[in-house]
Amino acid sequence: MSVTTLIKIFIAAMIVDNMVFIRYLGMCPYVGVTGDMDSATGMGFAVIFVTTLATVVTWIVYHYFMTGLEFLEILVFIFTIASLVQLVEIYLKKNVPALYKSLGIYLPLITTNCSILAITFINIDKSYNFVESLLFAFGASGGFAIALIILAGVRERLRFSNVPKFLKGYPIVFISIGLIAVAFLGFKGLIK
Amino acid sequence: MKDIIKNALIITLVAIIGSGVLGWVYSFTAPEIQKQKERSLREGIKTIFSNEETFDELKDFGGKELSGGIKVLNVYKVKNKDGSEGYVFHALFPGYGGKIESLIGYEDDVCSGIIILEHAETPGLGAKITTEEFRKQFVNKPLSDPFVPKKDVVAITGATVSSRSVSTAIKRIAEFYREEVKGGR
Amino acid sequence: MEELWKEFKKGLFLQNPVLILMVGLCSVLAVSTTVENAIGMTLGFSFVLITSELIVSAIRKVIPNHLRIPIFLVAIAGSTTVVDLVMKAYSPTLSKSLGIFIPLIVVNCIVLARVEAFAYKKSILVTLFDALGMSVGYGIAIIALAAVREILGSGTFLGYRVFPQGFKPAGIILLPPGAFIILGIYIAVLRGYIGRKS
Repeated sequence: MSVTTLIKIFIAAMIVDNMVFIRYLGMCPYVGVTGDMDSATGMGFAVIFVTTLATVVTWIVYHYFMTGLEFLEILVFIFTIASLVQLVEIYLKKNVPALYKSLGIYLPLITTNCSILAITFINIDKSYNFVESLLFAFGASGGFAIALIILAGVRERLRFSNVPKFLKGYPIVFISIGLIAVAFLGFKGLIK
Repeated sequence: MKDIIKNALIITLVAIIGSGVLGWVYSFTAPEIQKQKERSLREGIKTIFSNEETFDELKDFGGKELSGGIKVLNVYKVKNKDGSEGYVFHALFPGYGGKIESLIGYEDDVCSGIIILEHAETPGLGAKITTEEFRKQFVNKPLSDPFVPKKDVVAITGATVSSRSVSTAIKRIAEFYREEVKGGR
Repeated sequence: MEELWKEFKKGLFLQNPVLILMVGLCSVLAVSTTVENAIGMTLGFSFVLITSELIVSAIRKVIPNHLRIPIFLVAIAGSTTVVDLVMKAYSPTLSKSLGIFIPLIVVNCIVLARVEAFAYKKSILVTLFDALGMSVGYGIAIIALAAVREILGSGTFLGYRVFPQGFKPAGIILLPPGAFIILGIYIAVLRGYIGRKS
């Protein structure tokens, strides 16, 4: 577990195997929230926070409490994430009401953000130890946040450009995502 | 307070019923899943040692990490129908696009062949490491050879890194094989 | 009977979960590299959707409102696990190709959305037709996308060569950009078609 391996895991998770542009994860909240920059950044932070927290809890639960019960992985993990999101929601409502208001319906949306659940699965799949899992989670969710911000920026520009009527709305959004994905493909050789 | 307890109990009950159902499904799928794993392992070993009769896992040598990020997951000793013996190494090593999982066979002082189980190489380029054309050059290749692309190994055009990953892995694991085999196993 | 048929039909085009409601996108994009994978994914998804909707609809009168989400999750996660285990046991190659997207069915937005908005409120019979319609609609979207990507990206269909030997397929269609762009075009086409009809 050298520092180089850790850095590699982090960079790979964030850029080379970006959650959105390479792994196709988290699409539903992704297209829903990138309408404006504020929601995008807010959601980005929320995702990083929930993912890191979820990784800690699910890793511990899996490695210390689930030997022999691996078939319950899907059930236990989704329950954990759903509960964590509930707790975060309650905490925000009470202590940071402004943030709670702006995130609004996005908070429950995080539960169905497949990227978070996927990250917890991948940590187990790749047999990452605790530190590696944390770095992977942090990198991957960070990559998701970056993707959010990139697309929000593009969509804000799109609002003022001449899009053919046929493609107005979601079609052009997807084509834009596709074009950004081409750029991310270029990162493939970054990590050996 | 009573409400919280009541809620917690209901959820727990539901969770237990759910887990129970899953446990039941697991009880009859688990042995099948196990059989599938053995089947694919046996198929892989047979591709390398077509005369294979039986094989055993050498548990002491599994889970070793070699230099260059090469991991030896399992080692199997293979007994062939004509009485000869070989060894198959289930290994994981870094390629160009990700990790490459493969089975590599060794017998006496040669490599018996390699099959690629999983990889993340570029389709159409590095992915050609799975082709018969690339792999057959390793069958009966003396372990004393350098195993260097463009020298004694024919590299895939446009995929030097993938070719090198495979060659280096075979050579490094060969050293481990010789240590272990000649180390009086 | 007329009513039930209407419930079924809406999932196919007018309220196609993928192209109109825009949910459940991750699996559609990721798994549509071959038609075979798309079909396998549709079967797994349909099982989870239909089972979860039926279970929730059957016990909807006894589910306390404030506890409904966890109970939905148990039903959905349970059926997803069943699909995962059965596939690993009896179709290991398909399980490997679909990879992480089988366990991810549990957070496929389509399932939770339908269960919450529909199964929790309607009778079993109506729910069944909704689930069937949505499943077929999902299948149409993912298989259509896979068909284009497999034919243009690998030159095959269900594994059989479609184009003559000399044809060099465009690999990028099998990579993310291809998925996103072709999906965008499909959405435009379906919306345009519906718009013109109304």
